[in-house]
Amino acid sequence: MNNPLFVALLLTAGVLHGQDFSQQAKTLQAKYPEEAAAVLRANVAYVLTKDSRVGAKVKVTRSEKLLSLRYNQAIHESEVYDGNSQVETFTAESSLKQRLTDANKVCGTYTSEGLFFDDSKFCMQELKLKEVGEVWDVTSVKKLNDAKYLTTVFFQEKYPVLEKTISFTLPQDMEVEIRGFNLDDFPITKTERVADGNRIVEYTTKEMPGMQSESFDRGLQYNHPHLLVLVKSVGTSSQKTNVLTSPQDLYQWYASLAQKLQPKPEVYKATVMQLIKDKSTDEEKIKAIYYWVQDNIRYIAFEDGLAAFKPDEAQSVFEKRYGDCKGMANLTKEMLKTAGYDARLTWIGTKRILYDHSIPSLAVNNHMICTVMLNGKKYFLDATEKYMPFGENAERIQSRPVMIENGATFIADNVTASDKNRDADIRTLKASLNGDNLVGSYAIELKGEAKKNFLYSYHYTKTDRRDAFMTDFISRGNNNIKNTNLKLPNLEERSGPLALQCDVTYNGAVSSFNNEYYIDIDPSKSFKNWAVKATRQSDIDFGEKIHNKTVVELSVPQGYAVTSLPKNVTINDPEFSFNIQYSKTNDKVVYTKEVVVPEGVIKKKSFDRWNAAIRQLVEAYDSQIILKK
Amino acid sequence: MKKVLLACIVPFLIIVAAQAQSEVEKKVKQKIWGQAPAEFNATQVPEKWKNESAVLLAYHREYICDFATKVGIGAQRYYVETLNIHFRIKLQDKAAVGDFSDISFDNKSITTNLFGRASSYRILGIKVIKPDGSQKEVDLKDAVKADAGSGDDLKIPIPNLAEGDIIDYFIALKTEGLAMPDFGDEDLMEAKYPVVKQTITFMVPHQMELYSTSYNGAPGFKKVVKDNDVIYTLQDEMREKAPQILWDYPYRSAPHIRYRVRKEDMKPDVTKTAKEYLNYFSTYPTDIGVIVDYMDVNFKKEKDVKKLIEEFFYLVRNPIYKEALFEIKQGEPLNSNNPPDKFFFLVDHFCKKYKIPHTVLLAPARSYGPFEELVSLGSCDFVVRIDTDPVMYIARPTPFRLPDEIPYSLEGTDAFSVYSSKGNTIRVSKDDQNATLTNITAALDASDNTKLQIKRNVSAKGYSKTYHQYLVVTDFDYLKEYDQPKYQVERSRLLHGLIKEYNEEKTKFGQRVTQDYTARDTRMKEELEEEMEIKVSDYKNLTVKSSGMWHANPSVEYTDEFTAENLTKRAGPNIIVELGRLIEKQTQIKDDQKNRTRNIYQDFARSFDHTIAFTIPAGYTVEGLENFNKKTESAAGGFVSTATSDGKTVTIKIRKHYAENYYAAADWPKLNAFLQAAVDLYSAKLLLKKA
Repeated sequence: MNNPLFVALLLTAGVLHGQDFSQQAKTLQAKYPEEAAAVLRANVAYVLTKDSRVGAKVKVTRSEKLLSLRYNQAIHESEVYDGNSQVETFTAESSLKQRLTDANKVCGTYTSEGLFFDDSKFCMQELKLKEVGEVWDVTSVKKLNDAKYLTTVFFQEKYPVLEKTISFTLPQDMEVEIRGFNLDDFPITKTERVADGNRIVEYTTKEMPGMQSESFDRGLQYNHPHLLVLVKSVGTSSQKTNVLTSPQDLYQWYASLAQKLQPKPEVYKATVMQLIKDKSTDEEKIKAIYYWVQDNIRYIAFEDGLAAFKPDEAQSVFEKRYGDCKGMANLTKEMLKTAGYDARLTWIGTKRILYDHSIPSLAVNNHMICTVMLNGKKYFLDATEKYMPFGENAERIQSRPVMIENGATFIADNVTASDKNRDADIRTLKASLNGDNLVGSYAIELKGEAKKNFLYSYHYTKTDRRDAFMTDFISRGNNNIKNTNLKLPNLEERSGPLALQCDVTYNGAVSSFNNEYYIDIDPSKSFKNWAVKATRQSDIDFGEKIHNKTVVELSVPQGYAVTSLPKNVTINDPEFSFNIQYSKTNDKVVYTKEVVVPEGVIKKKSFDRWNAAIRQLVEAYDSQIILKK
Repeated sequence: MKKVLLACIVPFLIIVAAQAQSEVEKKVKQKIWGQAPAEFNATQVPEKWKNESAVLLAYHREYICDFATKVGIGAQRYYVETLNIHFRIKLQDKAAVGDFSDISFDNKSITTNLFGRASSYRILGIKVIKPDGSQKEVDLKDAVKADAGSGDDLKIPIPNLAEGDIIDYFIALKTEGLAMPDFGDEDLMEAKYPVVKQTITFMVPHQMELYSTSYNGAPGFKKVVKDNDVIYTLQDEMREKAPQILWDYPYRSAPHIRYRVRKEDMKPDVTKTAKEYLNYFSTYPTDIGVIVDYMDVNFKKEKDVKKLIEEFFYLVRNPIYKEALFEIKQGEPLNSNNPPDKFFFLVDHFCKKYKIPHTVLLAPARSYGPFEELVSLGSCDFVVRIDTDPVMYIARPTPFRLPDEIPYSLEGTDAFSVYSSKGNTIRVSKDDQNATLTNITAALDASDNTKLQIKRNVSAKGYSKTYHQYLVVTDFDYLKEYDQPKYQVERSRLLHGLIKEYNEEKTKFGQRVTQDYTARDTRMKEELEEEMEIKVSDYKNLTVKSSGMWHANPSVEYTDEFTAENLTKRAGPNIIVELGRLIEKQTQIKDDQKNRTRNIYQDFARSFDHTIAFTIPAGYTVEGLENFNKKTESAAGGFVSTATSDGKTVTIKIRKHYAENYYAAADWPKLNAFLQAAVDLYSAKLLLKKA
């Protein structure tokens, strides 16, 4: 027993053997009252080996010890795969002798909004938790045929993790860079060593909360700790095989797929000619084609294998009248080319992607659009966006870097950002008192993303339910607000602001007590429910730049005096501003409220300030104007 | 698409489609598409439906039954049944295109007999017709494997589909059987979309007959004899879509048909079938040994019938005995895995054994109407009447049902007994038997007078209690209620194992009770936030005083505490308190439903009483008490509230009640009147004026 290593091993074995999982489960139940399970220990090993065809391939072995915190509940463990990978084994066994073999797993399509990832599939095992303290050993082996498909590796799991190791076994002559993101806020350590001629890079972590699914999240890469694996090349300088060493390599691979396309313009030429025949300017012609694709091609992702990266043929999308982003981008391009324009496929990562194009990885792009070159200017056309005006760009792609096809090389650029005042929802009420109600004319002006989203929702609502939709839109869901005499503008017009008018009755806005009238002035109490929980993991991404303005001009009836006005509120923060002002003239009180989130994002580190500001906003909403007769 | 299919053909089989264009399919398509009735050529929507999302231009349901003879070991006569369901739908907006954008379906199954002819099949055909009249069939071989776990094998996007297109599709099913078909059903004339023309056809051999009745303005069948077949055809035109209205039983109020297909000389008589069912009771062998064992140990000398029946009921409701008697596993005690019909055999045998006078009744559901209008017994259920004075009823034991509680769906219906079809009307409960009582104390938070500290005591009984029981009683609590010495008696090896299992289940549910209580608090908090339109913080101290599952304490009762963050408004130095919201959101009748022609079917009469005691903070006086005084009463029910103040506390007493479970449409204004009074009170406010 002089060997200290042997002693340590014995001790470890003793601890494990005698471990009281029931007691541990009780402790964890108290710590994570909403979780069904916790991961006691997870090991994920990525072993990269050389491959003569593609340079390198990957074997991923996952083993996980899962502790049940619930009785009588089924939970699901899953493994994602696609056309370039296979789940070879996926089994689970519990301390209560429950066994799930490969035959038990259910595999199928994974329907996801991630635009490039629509050929993802997953295998699932259903674990029936039969006792609190039951321990499941889950293991899986997955193979990736090509190492360039190995990209992002997250530290968190669905359930809280007590200990986790992620290791990479890399041949020494394989150039692999592993970049860490958001690691500083978590207890993550990294070691590196050489064993059996391989470079072993190992990350360990402990006490990680489970990954939550949250609304208005910003994209996993922004807030969750993860690694981005960049497999660059294999071999020494004399026999070197590039996998993805540079953005140019990435582009070449994309371009090689695009080159396989065989457009048949004869299929859509007649439509193109019909669309442009009465149009005199280039802009009008491009617009006609762009809007036709927006209006006539449904977004449906229905692909397999390489289709995750290779666009569908233009003629196929044209005939089927459906496609994914790549199919729509390619059809837009080919129709524009048929009309004589210089249009190109363009790879882009939307705002949900943290990375830029300096990183040679498939993870930098999740979307495809079309760029048309006109008079030395680039116009970015994203036909998956419905009701998007020509010359404007959706919030989710603005400022994002793009790779525009250009023969052997690509053009690097950024999508044009819009003016910070482009997106706006401005509501103006000219109100007077009528018993317990405020009545008056209401004008709503929508601009940019707010207008585009409105048009989409309106047109994709069943015709017979559009009145109800408008009622809800005008009242922002407040049942006390009724509208009449609604006047809608041309709802097919994409460009310019959208203005609508109606008359409204705001029931119960006036409370009277002994000749005193208490006025609840704001019919549009936007953001009142936007305080965020301390446990929220993701930044808030509203998906648009917020510029929300409400003006109420209240006529003070003759014989009434304004005896009290609430305090003004002014909050200016780099990420947001709230401004509420009251002004009084002889016969009017004017209430002006502006809520601005210029980038449309509230970062996690700003949540305390945001919540304090929301509290002030709600307090202002709950403050009444007093008139006395 | 799938939704429409489900809505339209629920009574029929699962849709299954073919991947390959077999000869059978070609023939089926030729018949259904090639020989479709004239309305399947329609392309235009009537002017009045231009603003509908989609319109069914034509809808045909066709049932054909025929004989066939097959030669195997000997000649055998088969009944061949074919069902074709054919839709032609015009899509008028993008939302409708979205609805039909892709469909999911099971894989095909075509079987052939020895001679190569299809003996059964399930085929789907879809084509899209463009406004210019061109049409294209959707090739189902483009279908891909559906999402894992979706239950469907394949899904396919419908190509080249746009606003203004028509989608024309059918499902064809063919089966064979040895027995003469005998089935009945109810079919509503109204569908999700308006229907220009719909046809239902039954073609049967002359040995069979269709018996049908039309209700609420639905047309009837016309009968034509052709050779050896009889063809029944119903045609219906310009039918509006199914309205979405409150408190409606469509099979009582909407146009529909009820039919039965069977042997020609056997006019359907549900009464007869019901009596056959009931007669079965006296002959069905049922072992009540475990029940007798239990009674022998615990109640051997008991003579009180009420006591015996109650103990019997609780025993059979007990998860241990549900497993012993019906093989219902104990692991999900709150799940509605209700005992099968065997339960009623047990009641019958038990009553006979203990010489308890009783009558087994079969009762029709209110939502489908009386026996004489039924075409099957699918909507009926048994109930046993204990013929004591007063009578008691025993119904199928759901987890929280008490002895002498009957399902509200059977209230007021005329039941059948083996002896008589008269004099068996099931009683109807009164509003106060289904009461919910809520006592609330509220006060401004001492440290932050924008917040309100609230304590509640909620109790509910009768049919109103189930909602609350599922809110507050966890699996563990339920099992614990049965943790009584009398249920631990092991008189057999079976019981020994099941009692052991019960104790294990209780222990295991106990292991997760902290988490279940956390989830319950979250559930309660979210419920309050939704119903009072407030933000709740610091929800705590939920205490269940009674689970309401024993007749000694038949009401569920619980208390809780929370902080309401936005029930006050600042008004200079004064405070407005929106106390009305404490009664929770009230049913508001939308403008388009203010006029009503269909009768009103509620599940049960009920009442809601609230008492709110609000502490007036020091330094303030109250104004606006009159806002809380409302009175609207009629025979239909009412809403009455009164507010008083003694200078320290404002007390508001509120009562809302629905007097009946059914109202004629003419009574709708009476309901509207008191419903509006309740809505008005919900927004009532009190002013705290700074002295």
